[in-house]
Amino acid sequence: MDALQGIRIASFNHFLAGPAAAQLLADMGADVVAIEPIDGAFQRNWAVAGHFVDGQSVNHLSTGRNKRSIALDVKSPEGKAIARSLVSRSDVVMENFRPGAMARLGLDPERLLADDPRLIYAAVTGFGVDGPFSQRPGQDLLLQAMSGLAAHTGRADGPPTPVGSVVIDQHAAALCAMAIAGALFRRERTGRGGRVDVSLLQAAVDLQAESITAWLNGAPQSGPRGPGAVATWFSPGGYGVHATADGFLAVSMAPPATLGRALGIPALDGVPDSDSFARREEVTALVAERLRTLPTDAAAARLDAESVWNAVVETYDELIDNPQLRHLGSFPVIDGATGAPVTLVGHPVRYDGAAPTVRLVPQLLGAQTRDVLAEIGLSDPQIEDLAARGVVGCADGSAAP
Amino acid sequence: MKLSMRVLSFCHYLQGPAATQYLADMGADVVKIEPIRGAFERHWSGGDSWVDGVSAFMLSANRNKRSLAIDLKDPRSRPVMDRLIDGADVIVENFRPGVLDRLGYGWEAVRARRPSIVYASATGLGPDGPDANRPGQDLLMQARSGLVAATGSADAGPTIVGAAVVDQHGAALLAMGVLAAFVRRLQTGEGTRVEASLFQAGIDLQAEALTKYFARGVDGDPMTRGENVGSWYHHAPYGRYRLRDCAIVLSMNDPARLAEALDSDALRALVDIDRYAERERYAAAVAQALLPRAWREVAAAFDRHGVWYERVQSYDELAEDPQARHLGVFVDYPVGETRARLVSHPLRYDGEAPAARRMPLSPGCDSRAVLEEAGVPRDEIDALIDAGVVAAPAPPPAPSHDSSQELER
Repeated sequence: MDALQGIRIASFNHFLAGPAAAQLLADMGADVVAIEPIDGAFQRNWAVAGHFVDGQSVNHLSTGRNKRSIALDVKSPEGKAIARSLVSRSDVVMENFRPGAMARLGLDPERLLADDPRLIYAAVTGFGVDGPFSQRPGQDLLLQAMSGLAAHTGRADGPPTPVGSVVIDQHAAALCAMAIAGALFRRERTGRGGRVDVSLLQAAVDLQAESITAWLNGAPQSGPRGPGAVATWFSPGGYGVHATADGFLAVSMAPPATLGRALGIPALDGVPDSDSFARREEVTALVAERLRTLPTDAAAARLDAESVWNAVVETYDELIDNPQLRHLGSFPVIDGATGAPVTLVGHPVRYDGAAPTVRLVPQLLGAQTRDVLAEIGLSDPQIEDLAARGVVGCADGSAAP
Repeated sequence: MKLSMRVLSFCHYLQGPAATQYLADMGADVVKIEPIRGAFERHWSGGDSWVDGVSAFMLSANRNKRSLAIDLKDPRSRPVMDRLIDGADVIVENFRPGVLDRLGYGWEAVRARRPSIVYASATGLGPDGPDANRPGQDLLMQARSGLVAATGSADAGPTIVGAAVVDQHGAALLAMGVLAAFVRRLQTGEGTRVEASLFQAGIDLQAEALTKYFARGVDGDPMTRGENVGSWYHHAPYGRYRLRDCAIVLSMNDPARLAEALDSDALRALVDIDRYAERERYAAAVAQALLPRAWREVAAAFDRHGVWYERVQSYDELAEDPQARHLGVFVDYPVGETRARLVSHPLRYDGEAPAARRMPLSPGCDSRAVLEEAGVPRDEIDALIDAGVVAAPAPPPAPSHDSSQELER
């Protein structure tokens, strides 16, 4: 995939949303240089579940693909000058620090945009660049709580439930990459760059746009979570995940009478479609009761026969063996920068029938420091001098996939 | 932000419409191509939520578009559609594989007519493969992608996420792919076929968790957890806890800082334990320390000590949230005699969020304007309307720019 070939991105990102956004653009062909502190960005040195593969953080593995890495002390005067050189040759600057941090590094966005009207400056913040909460910590779980996602997930008779992965970060990343592509499109047409701002708070709300729009526009509400076995506050009867005799099955939207016919529930005969929402607890209870007696495979076959949409609840272990995902090549296994094989989640979109390739595996810290500094005109002795004084950090050589 | 891009949106349900809404918000001219009676989303609404007879589901993903209601199965629609395709930059569609091919508007047919087209398809489970023809819908892809299994405590069992998060994320990825392909078209003149699936959107939404999971190299079932721990892969106290008067979440936090903030000897004694291996033990101690306390006291102490926490808010509380109000997260838009509350475009461009300029409240409300712009003579348009090939009700009056933006600003 070469859609963004020739686009240079300086990525001052850490944690997840910013690095993931830069990875999406790198997948599409952009030359992303990750500018990291001398001891590496946060996501290299920290891993959830405390897990490292052959010394590499799984967080870095999930967002480091197709990027080059330079380790630079941006707080030193020489580091600041190098950072400015990297910015001045870039089409896009990305960062996800709290508002004001880049200005303190001598990279004030307003100044950069004034100096180079073609530049695109993209920031991901927790809560927006201004406003009463702009300096609060923004992290996925906190935004799940604030945005209503936790309160609206789970059962009415249970507690508010956080979603079991960092969905806000990942959605903010897609929105950020989308906005940068939109800004590049405008620049190609008009010659004008500009500023793009993404916040985790608005990404969290956007992720629930359908459900929030329904809630705020007069939907009948019994509470933030679904009653009984009803999946969510906005679900019609039958819609949800139900236990079968040997597993769990998801059942999507279907008229009550069709569900009755498919599963053999006489009590649902003649229940009109228009009662699907009003009588949802009763319909759901009947569906759940019947499904408990059927093996998953048999239940799925009966629903398929009546064209009722359904899916088996899969765990991550089952997922990797899922024939459709194998077909789509969703989980490329490659040799990582240290040689140990790593399983990645591939780029989710295909272009001209092909998924973007892994051109660079997640790189060691500073693997391209020498290359990138040479590109901005530094000589070998100058680079050695900077390395000896700890202004830059260099690893040995690029790791190819 | 003003994208000069002409988009034909052959989309229904949520992923496709939400994707073209992102583009429309950015200024693209998006024409929603609908059946004569209107797309699915006009006739159904989650939570049975309607605003003056208009589906809230439709309202959530179709602003800033124009609507053309046309019977694509009637051969008399063909010459009109050809004219529209000749003037289009982008086609976005989310039918099952092969549906638009059978109607004559598949990728091969359109590319033959217009080689520079960016043609984007969103399918449920991918364009091909063993399950390509299965239905793809948010809940089903939540189940199939592992998201349901990864959510909820061991007691609660597999838990559905309470919003259509896979659809909405799939929409953002689709819009991203379209825009990147368009950058290429501007640089090289070449079109691109962009293909996204709801299934892979569900996977991408969990990319961090999945990468960890496949790399974990540990035995046992790490998914299983108690009531408080928020995910299978974070160290405690990451999770949701009850106070005396509400629920809160705690993010990643330094245990010493947390112990000081709560002035708890029980937590001081646990500062050095492995909070992943013994996450249930640590979470239980935190839960016990928090349960008797009230929100005001806890929030003040946490702010003083820099603890990362938030209150669990409902949608009603969210609508009143001061930061959400400051950002203009919600915007009111007139519908009939009342107003609908919409979720705004989530991004700012040069400091401004795109406005809700218009909403195609009835199917085909822009049919006449769209066809006239494409060069179809008026008498031909009248003949198509008379024959029922095109529907063209009178358009509702468009609100002024100001009236759609005044709230929350």
